[in-house]
Amino acid sequence: MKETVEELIQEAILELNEQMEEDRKVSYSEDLKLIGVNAALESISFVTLIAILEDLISDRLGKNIIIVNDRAFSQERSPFRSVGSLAEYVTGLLLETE
Amino acid sequence: MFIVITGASKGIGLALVKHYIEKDHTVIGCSRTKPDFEHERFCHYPADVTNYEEVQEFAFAVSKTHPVVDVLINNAGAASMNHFMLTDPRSAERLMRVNYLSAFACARGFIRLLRKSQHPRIINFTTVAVPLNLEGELAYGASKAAVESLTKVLAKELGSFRITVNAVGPAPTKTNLIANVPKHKLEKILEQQAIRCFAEFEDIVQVIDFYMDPKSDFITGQIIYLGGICR
Repeated sequence: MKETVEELIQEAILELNEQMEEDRKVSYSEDLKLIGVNAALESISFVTLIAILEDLISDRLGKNIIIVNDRAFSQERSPFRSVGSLAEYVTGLLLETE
Repeated sequence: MFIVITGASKGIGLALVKHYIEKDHTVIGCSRTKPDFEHERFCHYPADVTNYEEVQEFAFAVSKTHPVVDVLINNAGAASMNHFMLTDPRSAERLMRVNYLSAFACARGFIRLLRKSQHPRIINFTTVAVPLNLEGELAYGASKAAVESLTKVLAKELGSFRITVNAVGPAPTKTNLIANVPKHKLEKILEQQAIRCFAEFEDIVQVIDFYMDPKSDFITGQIIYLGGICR
C-alpha cells in the first residue's frame, strides 16, 4: 500500500508542478519538506497538493479520505513535515478504511 | 452546468432545483426528506448537511457519477426569531450548525469536484438581518454573519483555485422561514429597505444567475442584499 501511496504523491507533485511557475516547481523525494521553516512549498501549494492527492486516492483507489484533520495536527510530529512522513500517514489512513 | 443544491426539498431550494432544470442544467439536490419532484436531470440524495460524515459521503457519491461540479448552492438553512432572553442556547447552536457549519462542510466536501470546473462557484445564503442587526434575530443573524465571514475568507483562500464564493442576502421572502414572524415585525424590516416590499423568488434567482454566469469569473467575496439595504 505504501508504494501505491508514494506513486500517487509523485503523480500529485507532477500535477502541482503543472500549475506552478518554473522557479517554484519541486522534485519528488522522500525528504522534501512540505510545511514549516524552509518548506519547499508555499502554504497554498501545500493545500493544492493535498487536494490533488485526495482526488487521486478517490479516483484510483475508490477511497474517500480526508487527509488534513484534527488528528493530523494533534500528532507530536507533523505527518506533513516531509513527503516520506505524508506517505506513511496516508497509508495508515487507507489501511484503517479496509 | 452541473449544480448541487442543499436544502432542496422545499421552499427556495426546491424552486431553485426546478428553475435550473428548466434552464437545461443537471441538478443534484440534497435534503433529509425527498422532494415531491422528479426529472431525468434531477437526482435527490438524502443527507443531513449538519452531519459532516454524511456530507463527505454525499460528495463521494456524487463524484462517482459526476466528477465535475460547477456550482454549489448552500441553501440549506433554518431560522428562529426570539428575544435573546427567550432563546435556548441549544437553539442558537442548532442554527449555527444548520446555517454555518453545513455550508462549511459542503464547501470542504465539494472542493475536489469544483476544482475541475471551468467556472467553479460556491453560492451561500445570508440575510438582511446581518447588516440591520435586527432585534430578536440574534441566533439567526449571528449564524448568517458566520456565513458572510465564510464567504469572504473562502473567496480569498479558494481564489487560487479560481473558485468564486459569493452570497445573496434576501429581503423577507414569503417562505416557511418567516411563517411564524409577526406581521408588524416584518413591516418594520421592510421599512429599513430602500424598496419596501417582500422579495420574490425571481429576485433571488437574478443574483444567483449573476454569480453563476461564466462571465462572472472575477466576482468573488461579495454579498448582495436585496431590497436596498444601505449601510
